[in-house]
Amino acid sequence: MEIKAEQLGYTYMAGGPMEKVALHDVDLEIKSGSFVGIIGHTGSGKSTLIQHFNGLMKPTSGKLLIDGKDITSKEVSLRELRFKVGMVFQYPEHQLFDETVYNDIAFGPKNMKLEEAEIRQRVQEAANAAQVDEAWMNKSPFELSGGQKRRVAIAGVLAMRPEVLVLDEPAAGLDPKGRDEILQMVAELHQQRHMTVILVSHSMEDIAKLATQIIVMNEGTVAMQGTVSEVFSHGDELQAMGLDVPQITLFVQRLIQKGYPLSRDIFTVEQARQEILALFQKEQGVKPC
Amino acid sequence: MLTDITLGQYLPGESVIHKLDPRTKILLTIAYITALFFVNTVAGFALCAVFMGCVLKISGIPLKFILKSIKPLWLFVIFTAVINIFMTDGKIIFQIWVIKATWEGVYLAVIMSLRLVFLVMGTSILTYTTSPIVLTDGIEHLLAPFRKIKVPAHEIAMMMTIAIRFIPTIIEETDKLMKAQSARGADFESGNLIARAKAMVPILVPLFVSAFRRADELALAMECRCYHGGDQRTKMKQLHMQQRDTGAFLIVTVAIALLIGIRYLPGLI
Repeated sequence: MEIKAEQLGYTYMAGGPMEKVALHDVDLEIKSGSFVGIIGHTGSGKSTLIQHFNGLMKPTSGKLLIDGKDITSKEVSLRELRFKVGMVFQYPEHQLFDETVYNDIAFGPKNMKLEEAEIRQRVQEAANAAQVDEAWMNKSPFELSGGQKRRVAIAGVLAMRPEVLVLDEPAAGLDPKGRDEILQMVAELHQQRHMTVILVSHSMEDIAKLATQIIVMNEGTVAMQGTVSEVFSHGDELQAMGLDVPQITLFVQRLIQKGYPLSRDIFTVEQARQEILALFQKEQGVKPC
Repeated sequence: MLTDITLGQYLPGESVIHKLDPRTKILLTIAYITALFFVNTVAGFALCAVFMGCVLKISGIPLKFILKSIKPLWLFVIFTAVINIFMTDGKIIFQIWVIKATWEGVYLAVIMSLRLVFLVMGTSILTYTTSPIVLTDGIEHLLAPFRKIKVPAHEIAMMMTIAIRFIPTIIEETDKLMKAQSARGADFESGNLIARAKAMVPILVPLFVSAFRRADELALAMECRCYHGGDQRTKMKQLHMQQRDTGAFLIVTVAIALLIGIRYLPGLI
């Protein structure tokens, strides 16, 4: 499923005294099967932008095309679009409502009017993918811990078997372990099921580790767009927008300044470890001590 | 979706009416409403209209906002008008079986409708020119004497302030939940009444959960800052009556005297 925005703009309360331009002149393309990270400081329009992807918001100017079709046109059913583009909002655990975890996860598939057996299968599959414990299924979602609730909420979206998964800061407010688990799960969904993933995050490290493409939002429009190394090579510009490059990249840049011959394309701790070890071995080979 | 609702209709401004002490405005509005019930002639309502027009002009509130505040009233106005027309005894205009319309009824219906319209106009000028926080402050001061008979004036005002403060938060939250549930295919627009009521469950349950959570957090935060209710509590912004308040009292008293006078004087002369 391909998502394409052409000169997309969105204005809150257009024409009123409280008019506020949230997005303007957004041009972007998200290819099927890609993993796109969206970064931008608070209020840069990230959340408004992603809500266009499943038609929760409609552009006030310009177009949003899904597989080449304008979402405002009659041939696109917004309901079906919402089943295809799964949206995990910030703090998704706040949307849990049903009596049991099972029913909550089944809410999406039930709205799709599927057969009971199919629903059961999808809930099972989503629960496995989101690491929802079998033992929680008949509990009330309100009995679970924060991290557990969040996994249930994500399972609720996965149960619709979306082709595209949009996540708005899925790891916010979790402890390091919970954070790693959620991000690991997202990575697996992308690799094993070839889902298109769009991840909004404030953590440059997470984006560097997971994404293949990055979209940088600033003041309601796309400031940069490209591969991870393309975007993170503009460190100064990112800092001017209140963003940054991953800390390990800064660290490696300092080492380069000190004269160590390292690559500039290092964005994760794992990459840095390998490069630095390789450098050690090479230097040791040159002058044994 | 829901963010287009304009609640807490305060329109900030710099007019004399905006600057009046909230106590003055509340008391005068009550006096005005009471006086309205004495008005029963066309001349009286004309005077009312002139008076309201002047207040509106001074306050600088656009007429369309006042009209907007009257709009939800029309069902109520029609209801009272119909009741009055058909339930009053007098000279009959026409009669169908036992239902009869009377001239006296029509007259009463017009009076009652005008009264309702002017009543809402007056109170909406109060809410348009006074911020909710200042308004509750005024109410607290006016209720203070009743503390002697155990009316928790400060607590009532605090509850009102908190309730008003959280209206936008809860609207925002509702909006977010509606979006999250429609992202999972929830449908709020189709189906019969029962289906629609059922569709609200996925919104209402999390909304209540979060409202309780917020209330808990707020109570804790207030206690952490040693909030202990109204006793010996001082205010950062004290209310002071000014000359303009005295002026407002004088003008409104004269206007009310005229309104009541129009009703009784012709009979006396």
